[in-house]
Amino acid sequence: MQIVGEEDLKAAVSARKRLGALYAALCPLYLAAVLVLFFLSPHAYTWYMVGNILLTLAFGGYSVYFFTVRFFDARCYEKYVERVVNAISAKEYGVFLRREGTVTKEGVPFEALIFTVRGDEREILSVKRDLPFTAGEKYVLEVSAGVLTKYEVTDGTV
Amino acid sequence: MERFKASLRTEWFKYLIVAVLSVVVWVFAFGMYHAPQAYEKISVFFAGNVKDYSFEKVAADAFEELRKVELSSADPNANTFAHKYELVAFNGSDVVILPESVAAGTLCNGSFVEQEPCGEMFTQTEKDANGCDVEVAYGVYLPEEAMAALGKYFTFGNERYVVLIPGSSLNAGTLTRHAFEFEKWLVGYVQA
Repeated sequence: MQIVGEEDLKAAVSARKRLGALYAALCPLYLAAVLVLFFLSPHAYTWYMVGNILLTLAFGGYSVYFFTVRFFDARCYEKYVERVVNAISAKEYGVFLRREGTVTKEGVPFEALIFTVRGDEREILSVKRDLPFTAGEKYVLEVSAGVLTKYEVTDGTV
Repeated sequence: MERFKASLRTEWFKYLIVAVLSVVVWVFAFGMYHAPQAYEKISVFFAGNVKDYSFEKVAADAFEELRKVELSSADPNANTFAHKYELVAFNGSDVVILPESVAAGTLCNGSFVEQEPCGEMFTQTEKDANGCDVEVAYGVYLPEEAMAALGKYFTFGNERYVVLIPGSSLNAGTLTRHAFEFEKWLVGYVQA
């Protein structure tokens, strides 16, 4: 089963661009609103000023959230997919042992999976959670940059 | 929502900067944009002590075309008076209220605007083109009633006070004639 591939990279790039476009569309709307309030304000301008402060608080707050969470996550995910897709992948046989919870690397949350590979325990990361691995079962794992990109169940005879 | 809450915890400093900046920037911008223009305000210099600055509002309310009246003062007995008198009264004021002794000790020619005689005028003797002595009116004495009424806002000494208009004032004929109107209002001021 394919977990990460070229399609995911395209999707990640387009998701990041979509977010950027959304923010770019909001900027002129915000600017237009505050400039209209500013230049149309009368000498008794208190409420117009309060309006502009509230708009700026909302837009500024959203900008911080956008760049530190939404856009940051999208960018990290895109970089991760790009690295995984471009790295040399290795095929290995492993026996699934257990799940070790969430590991965050470079801004991307992974599920840590422990397999026995060539007699040693090895942590392999997966960006998709709750993959249907069964403990003690043998799998063909395709790993790229330490991340699981594809797996298949084997009948144990390989 | 969880991510936003987590972001508030970790990035609180950025949110705080945004909040502070949005208030500071807009207060400053609106303040600058709506600051009264030179023709919308009158700066009054008083040689003495100001008791009550509510005069600024009372005076501004008395004129429809004025948005602001600014009061500045300096005690004639203070060491710094001469400096402040020169700096503020001559260069940044529209109307100057001086004790008679200070006005008499000032060379008014070139500093204050020559005025048309109306009421009791403060004059200085000057030479005309033919070398003859002439009396030139530079200010108006504040009548007793006006001083009594203005005593609510200003501390007057035991001498008479003169209202003069500096030549540098933009409201003395350059942009408007508000300084003359203000002077007239001051001279005729009677407490409500």
